[in-house]
Amino acid sequence: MAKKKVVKVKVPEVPEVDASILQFVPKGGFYNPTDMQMRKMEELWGDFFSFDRIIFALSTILPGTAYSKGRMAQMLLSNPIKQENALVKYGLYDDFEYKVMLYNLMKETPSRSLKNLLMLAGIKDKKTKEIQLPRINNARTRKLILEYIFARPDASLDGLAVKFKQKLRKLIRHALGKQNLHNILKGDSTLFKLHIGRYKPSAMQVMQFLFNVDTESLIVSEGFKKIALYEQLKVAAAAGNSDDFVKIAEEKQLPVEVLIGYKNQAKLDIDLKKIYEVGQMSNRQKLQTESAAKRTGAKTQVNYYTQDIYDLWKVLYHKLISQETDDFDRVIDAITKKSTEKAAVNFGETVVIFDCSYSMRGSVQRPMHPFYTGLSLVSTLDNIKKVIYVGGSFMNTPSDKWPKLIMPRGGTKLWEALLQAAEMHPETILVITDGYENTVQGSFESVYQYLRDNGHTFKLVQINPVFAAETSGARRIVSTEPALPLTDHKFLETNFIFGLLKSHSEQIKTLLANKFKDIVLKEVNQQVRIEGIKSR
Amino acid sequence: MSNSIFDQLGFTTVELGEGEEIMSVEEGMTVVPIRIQGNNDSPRNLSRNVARPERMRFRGTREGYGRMTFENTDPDHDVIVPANTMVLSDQSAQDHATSEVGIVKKSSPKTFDNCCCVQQSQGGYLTADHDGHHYDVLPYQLRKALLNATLRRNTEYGKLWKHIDTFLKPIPNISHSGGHMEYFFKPYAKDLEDFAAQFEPVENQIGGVVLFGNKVVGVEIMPSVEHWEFYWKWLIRGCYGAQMMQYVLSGSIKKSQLELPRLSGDFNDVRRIIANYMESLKLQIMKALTQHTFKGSIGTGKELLKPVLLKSTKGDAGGDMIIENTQSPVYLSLVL
Repeated sequence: MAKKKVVKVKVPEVPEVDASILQFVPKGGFYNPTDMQMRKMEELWGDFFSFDRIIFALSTILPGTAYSKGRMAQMLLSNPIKQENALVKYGLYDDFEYKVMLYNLMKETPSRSLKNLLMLAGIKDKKTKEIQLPRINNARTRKLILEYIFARPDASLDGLAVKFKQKLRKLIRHALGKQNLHNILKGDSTLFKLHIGRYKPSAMQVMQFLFNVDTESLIVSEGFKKIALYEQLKVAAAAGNSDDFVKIAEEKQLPVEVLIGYKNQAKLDIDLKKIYEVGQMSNRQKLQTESAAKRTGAKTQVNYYTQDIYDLWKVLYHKLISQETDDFDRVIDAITKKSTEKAAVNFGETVVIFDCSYSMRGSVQRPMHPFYTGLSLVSTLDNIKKVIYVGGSFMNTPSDKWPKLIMPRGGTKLWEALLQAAEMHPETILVITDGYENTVQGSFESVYQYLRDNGHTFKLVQINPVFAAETSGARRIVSTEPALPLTDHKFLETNFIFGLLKSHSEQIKTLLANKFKDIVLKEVNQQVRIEGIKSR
Repeated sequence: MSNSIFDQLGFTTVELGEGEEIMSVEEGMTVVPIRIQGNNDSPRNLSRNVARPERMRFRGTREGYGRMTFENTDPDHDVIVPANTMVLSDQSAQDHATSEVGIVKKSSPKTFDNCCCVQQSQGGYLTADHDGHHYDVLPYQLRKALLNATLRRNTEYGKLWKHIDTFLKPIPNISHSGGHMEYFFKPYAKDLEDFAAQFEPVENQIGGVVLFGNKVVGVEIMPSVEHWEFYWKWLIRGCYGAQMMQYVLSGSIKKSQLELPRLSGDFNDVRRIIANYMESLKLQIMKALTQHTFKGSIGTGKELLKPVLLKSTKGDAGGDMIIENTQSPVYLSLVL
């Protein structure tokens, strides 16, 4: 059995962590810096956990990446919870960590939440078979997995089961153990009620479906229409019956990946165009598969107005680079509309210096990510007086609305932009840069120092959309001013809270505890009341 | 740039970038961009007869140790394999580097039989187009060793091992010895990547003059802006960045960050101070580029592109150049 990681407890001191610990995504750059970043991040998570487990757990309710939250939850679950008298002071109960974790799962897409839960089933390196993450199987883990899967309305469970059948099987097997699973599938109603029925009494039919038990005679209730259709589709595919297959698909209930999977497996002669037109997709999935669907000639309609602004910028540049003119103006309209939804954080009157040099294109694994993050931030920040683009070159677009778009390219004369910005006497100068100057190093800092010495009082905020492992966070452009790591424009709030952690850790703990009571507790309890416990 | 290397070798359409485009870092390395003359609407190349860089594919070392095969997938033009291209891989196979610049004819493969093994005690052949291959150019010090014509032409694949060992020895954190380039490149991969990121290409950049401290140590010119955008990291990271880092790690060079003069006056004064400072740097560099004289002979074959091995008339500087039609240079890689 894999050895569990136990974090050694050190004397608490506020660690040198910033908001990057909540914004990590294991996608590095050229060579293999992912490993290096990962090692550094594990160290930071460990330090933060040792510093204060309560803040560590509560901080995960702030905006951040699902991956970071998943790894932090894994750390919480792998270290036994102790009776904490300190909790009373903040109005928290022993189960607050559990509720935080459940809340975070509820807030993510099912696909991402299931990935996070699968971390608990252990991860091995595909090549070396070396354990990367140990299995965790304790009472809290089991409950978390089963409650997340089963405490939801029938329609939601129905969709989850057909879309993520293999993942659910793996998770349920991990949570129940082989013996319990065997007994439940053999009809042990006491065990079923104890682990699953408490959340969803009618879930036995879902279990039969997931584990292929008596599926030929499986009769599913009205609430599980997709499961019934899935079973019919499987039969049609096995019989090579394309007509029946299409008829079932035309009900527009089954996920596109299920249809494609069975079509390919049974080698059915069905036009992919048809599959894209009738397969069910989430809005984001529609956006992501837009080009692939169009290549098949399928007429799919993407609702751009419901998308995240980051995804919209990504689509716009994808269209620009691949010279796709379709819907170009519609994406611009959606970006314009989304740009009216301003971020909660306001820096006052701000001049933005936006580094559009080559390195803002980011890594091979996440091309253009720093640049799109910067664009999304600029679009949603309020009170911007001017944006100064530094470097970059303009590309012609097929649109009259925005005839030119900037593309990251070339070097950065950031010091010159700083002078230009200071000339406008703003309250804040916000610099979006990865921290590489591409000029005589120190030029920016020299100019900054000159401005300070000459009475300029603007606040300098550096936003760095690239996590830099070597500096335990974001690379600074001015040595005396911290850089705020920001891998998603929605995470600004997190940056500010972490910015205050060193000087106001007690106040931050209280603030997070209140946020937990005001938001998390209400949402989790409501969810459980409506969807789970109600049916006990 | 009268009497400079550029005039001497016939690069008539290139120029040094503006003073303000000079890039330097605290370790003491400076790069001055070399740009192609003209604006964005002008041709962004020295020749239209060189295939795009992505047309060059590495096809492995299956022909035997010391033999690297490259393929040109372009149906119309010959492709250039930059001098001393190095392939380090995650495969259980021997890493290799070329000894000189290569030219591969259109739509065909070519095996170079005088290549160097750079991973002494590893067996196995590199395969073609593997995702885990990483490309760089050999560090400066090793490229200088390969300026020796006898060593260059030698087909003994272990010919660079002792030079690699010499490169590694002064680095305190590397305890192993032998001809293993990966002992350096693997642990310092991220540092090299970050180091290189400080020298991103500027508009119309086609090459660069590289300095360690105040000394010009390299002049690189690619056939087009596109080629520079493709290869700059191989050179800045693998060749010059790696050498600079070796110097810093081994304590054989002092960090010599350029210091800006004190800024004062109004904003225009500040702009002027910085611009003057950088222009004065540029003038010093231009002067340094007139210090070398090179000789080399061009082959008599009928090929459109011909390689030339250049040697300095004094000292141990030299490198590779490619000439088109026996008169127009299209590629230059000099270590000084």
